[in-house]
Amino acid sequence: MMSWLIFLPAAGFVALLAFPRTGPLVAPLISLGSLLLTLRLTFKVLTEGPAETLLGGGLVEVSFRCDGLSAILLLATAVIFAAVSVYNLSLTIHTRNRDGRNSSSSTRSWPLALLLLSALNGIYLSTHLVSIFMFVEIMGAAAVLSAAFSRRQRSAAAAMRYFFTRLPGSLAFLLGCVLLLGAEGSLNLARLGETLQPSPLSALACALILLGVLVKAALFPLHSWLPPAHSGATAPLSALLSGAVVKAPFYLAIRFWLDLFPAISTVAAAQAIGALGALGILWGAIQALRQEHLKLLIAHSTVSQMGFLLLLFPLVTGGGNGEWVLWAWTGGIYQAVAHALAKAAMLLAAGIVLYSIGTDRLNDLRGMASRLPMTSFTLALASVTLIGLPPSGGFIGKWLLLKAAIGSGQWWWVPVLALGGLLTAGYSFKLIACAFHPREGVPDLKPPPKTMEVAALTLALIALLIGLRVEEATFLIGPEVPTETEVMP
Amino acid sequence: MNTGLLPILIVATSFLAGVAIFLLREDQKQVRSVINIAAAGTKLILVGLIFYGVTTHGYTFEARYHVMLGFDFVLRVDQISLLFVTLSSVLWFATTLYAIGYLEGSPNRRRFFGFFSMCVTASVGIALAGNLITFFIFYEFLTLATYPLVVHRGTENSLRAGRTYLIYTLTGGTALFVGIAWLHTLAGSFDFGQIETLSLLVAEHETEVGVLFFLLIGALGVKAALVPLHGWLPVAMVAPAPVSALLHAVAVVKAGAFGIMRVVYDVYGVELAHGQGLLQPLAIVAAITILYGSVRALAQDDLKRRLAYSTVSQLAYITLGVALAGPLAAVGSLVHLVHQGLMKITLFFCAGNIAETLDLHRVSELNGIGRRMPLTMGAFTVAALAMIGFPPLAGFISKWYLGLGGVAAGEPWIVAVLVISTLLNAGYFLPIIYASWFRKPDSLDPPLQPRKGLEASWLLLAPTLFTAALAVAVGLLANSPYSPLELAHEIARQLYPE
Repeated sequence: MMSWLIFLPAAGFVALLAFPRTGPLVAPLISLGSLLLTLRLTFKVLTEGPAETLLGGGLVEVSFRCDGLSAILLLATAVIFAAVSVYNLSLTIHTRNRDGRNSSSSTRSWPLALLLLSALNGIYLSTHLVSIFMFVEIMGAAAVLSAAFSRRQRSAAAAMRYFFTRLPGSLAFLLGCVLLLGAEGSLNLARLGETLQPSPLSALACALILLGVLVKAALFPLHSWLPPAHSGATAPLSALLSGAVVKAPFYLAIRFWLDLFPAISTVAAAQAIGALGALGILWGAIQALRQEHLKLLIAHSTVSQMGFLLLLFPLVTGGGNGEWVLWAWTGGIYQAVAHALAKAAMLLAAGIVLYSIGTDRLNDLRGMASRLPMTSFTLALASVTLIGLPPSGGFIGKWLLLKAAIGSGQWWWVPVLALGGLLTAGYSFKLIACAFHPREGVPDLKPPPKTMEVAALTLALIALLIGLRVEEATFLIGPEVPTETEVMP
Repeated sequence: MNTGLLPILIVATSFLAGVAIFLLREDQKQVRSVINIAAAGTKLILVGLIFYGVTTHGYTFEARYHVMLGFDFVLRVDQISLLFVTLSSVLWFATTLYAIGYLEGSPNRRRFFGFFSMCVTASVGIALAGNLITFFIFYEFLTLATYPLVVHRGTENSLRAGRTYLIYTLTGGTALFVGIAWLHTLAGSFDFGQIETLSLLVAEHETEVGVLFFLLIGALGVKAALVPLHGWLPVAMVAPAPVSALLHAVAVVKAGAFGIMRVVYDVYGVELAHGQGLLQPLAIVAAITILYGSVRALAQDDLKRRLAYSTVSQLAYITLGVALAGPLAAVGSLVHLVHQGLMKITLFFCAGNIAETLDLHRVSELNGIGRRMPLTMGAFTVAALAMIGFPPLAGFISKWYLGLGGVAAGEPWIVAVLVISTLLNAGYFLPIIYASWFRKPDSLDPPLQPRKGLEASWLLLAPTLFTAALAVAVGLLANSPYSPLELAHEIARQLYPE
């Protein structure tokens, strides 16, 4: 089942390279199939515990493992891809009806989406550093191409910047792997976790790997590639990039922190990551407040929201052992999943705005609340999750992070969380106030396909509703949390 | 008997009505009105059932949904929530009729009535919330649901008001969020009324418990418009009249006052809060707010603005009664929660009638208006006299018990505050009454002359007269069974057992 999650989209990708015109048929089917497979896998993990498959040994052993943490992120990814596929299908049909042929951007987006899906599933399931590296690079290539394929000239430059920022990250990751292989003779995560001893060399290797991963998660101050790349891509691809793709490096960072890095998971390192996260929260939010374009606003908001996720590191490290460790883990994961869904919903909605109004300048969105009510509602609903208002998934995330900060005595993260939430509210309501602003002389509006609007709204609703079922998520995450976190002084 | 179904249904009626209204088309006016009235009526019946069950049979109604460890979503009916939920559902019914009449022919009514229903959902949820976190959920929901109502007109002015409103309320909400999370980390989760939780904690964490009290009250004080956190309220009155009426009578400001009540009575417990000396500062802030609001109201020429400052002042009576530990003050506070709602909603209805029918907004324009709109000004006069504290109207009962409570609590200066405030009330209400009945109209324009037939649409008049009549009835019949005063007595007896 787990290998199908990787091979099915990969096979779809190859098929679409050969027969590009079948994209609208093949890709949605595969996304849907992948969603069903993921649901089954999650159910299995929920009832029977972590699942494992070994495909082959040898130099590069290929084995997959799915525990609760992977299952949750797989599921979020699958849901986003399914919704985006429906959206993209509707978009393709409607643009074809008008022009009589497929637009080039929609033809290209199908294989790229499948490649991204395959790589993401691979990252969430791999147990070996080499296969992880491989999937990360595939994901990176697909992401760079996604950012490049747009009619605008700017996108190409953004994609180049994206590529060149990722490159040192990949090199750092690779170097770290080589050092580890030399020292320990294995790159299997589980085995490394058992044998890795604290030493300057292993600390250096781990630091390199972590840095390589966090650059891809838009760690402040290495975040500046993200806004142009994500806002430049077409709506379906930008939803995948900003919603699903950035969560993969975050997942890897916490996976390594959990399984691999007792050697360097010192309090100081954790606090440093948290501090960079806090700066990212503030910087991204302030930049978002200053934007005049919807997609840029949303993309800067991603930088800010990724910062919230990084607060997980200090909160689980160094506060001693208590129930707040589980709170922090659950809160961080909830924050990640809620953001993934809400952000994808927002970017899909932004795509509808571009489709209907023809521009995403905030001033041109005035009066949107009465002209595109469902899309405006989607944006508002997704904002509720981002701000962390109840009863959304983002609320659960913030609530647990806040409790963890207070419980572990790290009160200095409390104002960061509070201020971050308020700034999020600031830029969200800047957008919503625009939608309510009346407008004289309404220009022509192209009515958006209902299916597109429903797909975006569905994602926003799911982001809201996951706040109502927390027990299952806690149950999935619970066993992964080390009861006795070993912390170096 | 214990059933959780009724509280859920009470919250759901307005929520589902709101969703249904959003799904309608803008031009389906009839269906929308039917849904609105049916939902308001259904809720009234359900609340009637609960009222009957609690007061005569002592039933408990509780619905509990376990979200995660330390986080239960609880809807429960106790005596205090009964008082508030009855008030909201009665006034919702009146305001729904009023809003249908008021917005006749204006654009975006689907959006208005959709969010209007959500707003009522939130205030009913606040009334029925069984613990702090559930309270917080509805408290924030209220902020979101009222924002589109405040900016409904979409003018530059209303958008600015909306921004001010959000800055105040969301900051307050964040502080409340931090406070609740802190409390939960310290004490675990507990329901309203389980005051022993904090009493056990206080020996070990005395400072934290004290700081938390002021964090929570400060956060709630934003919506309760305690000086200096009241700045949003006079600005937010740019909203359409039915919204202001609801905002000032049951929804937003009451949510804050009710929250303060919950924190003092059901989270900390009077004994603990009083024993730690936490209530005295609150009483002083409330007294300052009472005087400040009244003084500012004197200077306002805009009628709705004058009423808004009056709300700042009147709302603080509730806080004052809570802060004066003692059964009599508690009675005054609880009964004022209801009375202020009835009086203030009548006043805003009247202001809306005048604005809608004659397009007059300023106090100085109201000369001789009593002849043109006798029913409206009659209702206004009754409600204003009640506000001043004219016996035996609603406001008199509240002030009487608050004064007695002040003396009983050993704080006789409260009486002086009440007397000064009453004089100020008279100072800003009596001139309006005098001008409208006894002065000659400034112009001989036909619109200001008396005319045959109804002075305004019956949809505007009926709710106004109804709430005015209630404001008289709760005063006249204060001692009859099931009156707000009797309920307040009952609650006070439980809060302060002999």
